[in-house]
Amino acid sequence: MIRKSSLIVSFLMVLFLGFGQTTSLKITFQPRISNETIELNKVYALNDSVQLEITTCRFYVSNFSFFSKGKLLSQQKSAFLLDLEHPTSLDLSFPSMDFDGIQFNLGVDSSTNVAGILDGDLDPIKGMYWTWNSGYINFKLEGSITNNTGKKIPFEYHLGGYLSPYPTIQTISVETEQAENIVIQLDLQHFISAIDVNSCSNVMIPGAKAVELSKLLSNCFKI
Amino acid sequence: MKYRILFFTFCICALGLISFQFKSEPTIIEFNVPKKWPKPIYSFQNNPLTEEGFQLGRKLFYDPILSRDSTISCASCHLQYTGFTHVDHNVSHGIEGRKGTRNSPVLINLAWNSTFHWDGGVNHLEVQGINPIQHPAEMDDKLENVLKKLNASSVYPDLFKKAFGSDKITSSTLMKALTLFTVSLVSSDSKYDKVMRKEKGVQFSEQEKNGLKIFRNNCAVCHKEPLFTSTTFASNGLKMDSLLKDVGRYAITHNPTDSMLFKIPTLRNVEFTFPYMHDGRYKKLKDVINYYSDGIDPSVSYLSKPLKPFHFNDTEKKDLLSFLLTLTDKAFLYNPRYSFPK
Ligand code: HEC
Ligand code: HEC
Repeated sequence: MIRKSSLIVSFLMVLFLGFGQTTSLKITFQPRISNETIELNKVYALNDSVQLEITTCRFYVSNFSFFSKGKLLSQQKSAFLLDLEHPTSLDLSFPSMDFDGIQFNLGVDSSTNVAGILDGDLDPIKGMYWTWNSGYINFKLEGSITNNTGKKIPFEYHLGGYLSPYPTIQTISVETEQAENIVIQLDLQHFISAIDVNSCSNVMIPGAKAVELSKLLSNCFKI
Repeated sequence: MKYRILFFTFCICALGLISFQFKSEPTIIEFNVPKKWPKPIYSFQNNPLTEEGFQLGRKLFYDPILSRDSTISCASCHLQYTGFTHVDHNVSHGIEGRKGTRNSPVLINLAWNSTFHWDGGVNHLEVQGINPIQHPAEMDDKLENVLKKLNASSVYPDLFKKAFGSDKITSSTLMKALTLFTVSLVSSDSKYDKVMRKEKGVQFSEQEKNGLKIFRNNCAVCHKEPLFTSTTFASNGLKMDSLLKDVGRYAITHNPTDSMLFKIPTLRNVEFTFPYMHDGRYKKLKDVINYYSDGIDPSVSYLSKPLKPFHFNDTEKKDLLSFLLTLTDKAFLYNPRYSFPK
């Protein structure tokens, strides 16, 4: 009997420890302008003549895979909505392990796009879903730039679409030397600087332009 | 010590059992696939068909609570006795009489469709319902707001608990409930079906038989039996309405070869689903037959094969019409299970 009860206790302890274990790797996403973490509705100088303000920055990352020396250790098929308006959403937790590479998707994969109604971060009320042309908006950036003449140009980039020939999902790989508390930066200065906002201030539907900008974005992530 | 632990475990198990007993499970019902029909596209895997879910979806379908000013329900544009489409209007009329840009389609045999809307822009039945709720010319509300109203109502939380196990109403349970109703609208009991099933005492007249032959030779490639739609996209050559400027499937795919293609509608219950076509341009079935006979302009670049002006003679027109009328399914149009819940 004594042995049995101690078994139960140790079982509970293992369970407890197990749960503790599962949340010890933290990955934080940090959207940045030059070397600053972005705050919404704050004006940043991009260079001597151009100012940038961001009012919405919201995107999905999904399907995280962890590698060690090229070998797949673990894979998690879920999607997370990161939203600058809710800074805690930028912190993700994973089971800790000894890895040196991470791969993830920017956006939501096609099977999720055709899966019907979904909950949690994928709930259409999160404002990241097109209803008349069903599918998730993978990345939403809204704001304005002001040029040296004082003219303010608002922009809205809603990037999404999963159907061929215009799938917007991007696979991103990063390497790392440490296996805990990872910070992945998203350099939005690089993104905005590469776009001629004057001639392309709105992308709101799937298509070639959405694919082009999504590819551009995928090069803006780094550790 | 040891007895205490044992006792404790026992109590937890007992509590678990008791709460399990009290949680009444919804009643699973079967989705009947008519004999020799293809397998339905909608899989009930993530949304099992239950009596409670169906009845809840039915109640929601007829409840104007889903619109901003509580004046419009789904049934305002989808009436049972016309095959769940709008009557009289060429394009749908919504909140405050605002006009939409398209004729409301019938809601018949949706379980066999993989895309929805005239342009196929909606990829799953469960997400279709967000469209009318949020469309400014339909119900003009916000999904969040509708959920708030439903959660605050005195009847709905309890009904959702019975159907889905939780009284917290979410987008997911709302859309799943609506789907359980609309996916259940199966029409398979017309005279045509009875003849195909070789039911005793039901036979086609000579005229109907000739009509079926004409139909199979000219129409069935697109309006494929037994659903009377191949559920794909085509153009029957209609020219663009100069006001609505609807480009059809192209608006979704941006593929030039999809320009002016529309989802092929089912012809089940076509006797009552007027007006016809995506913009409701034809009021009478006779007008449609005349169009296919003599109205098609063969030089239209997007006209789908094998369409051409068929030049039916008067007898052929009458035969074809009499066949189309055999697709009327009164048992469906007046099925009390689909009607306004009392
Ligand atoms: C104001 C009129 C109106 C209201 C109200 C309305 N609908 Fe519709 N419905 C339409 C129109 C118009 C379409 C076609 C839209 C298109 O093709 O762009 C449609 C299409 C549909 C379809 C797709 C059918 C198919 O075969 O493609 C379904 C399903 C549907 N509606 C269900 C509903 C439900 C459920 C509700 C209530 C939540 C509702 N509708 C409320 C007008 C309406
Ligand atoms: C090439 C494919 C094709 C063929 C062949 C075809 N149709 Fe159609 N039919 C369509 C399409 C597409 C529509 C919807 C067009 C639109 O709304 O713009 C349609 C619409 C209709 C409608 C209106 C239904 C509604 O609810 O609005 C009727 C009735 C109809 N067809 C009957 C016929 C008959 C009868 C024939 C044979 C003489 C025929 N069709 C041959 C593709 C076809």
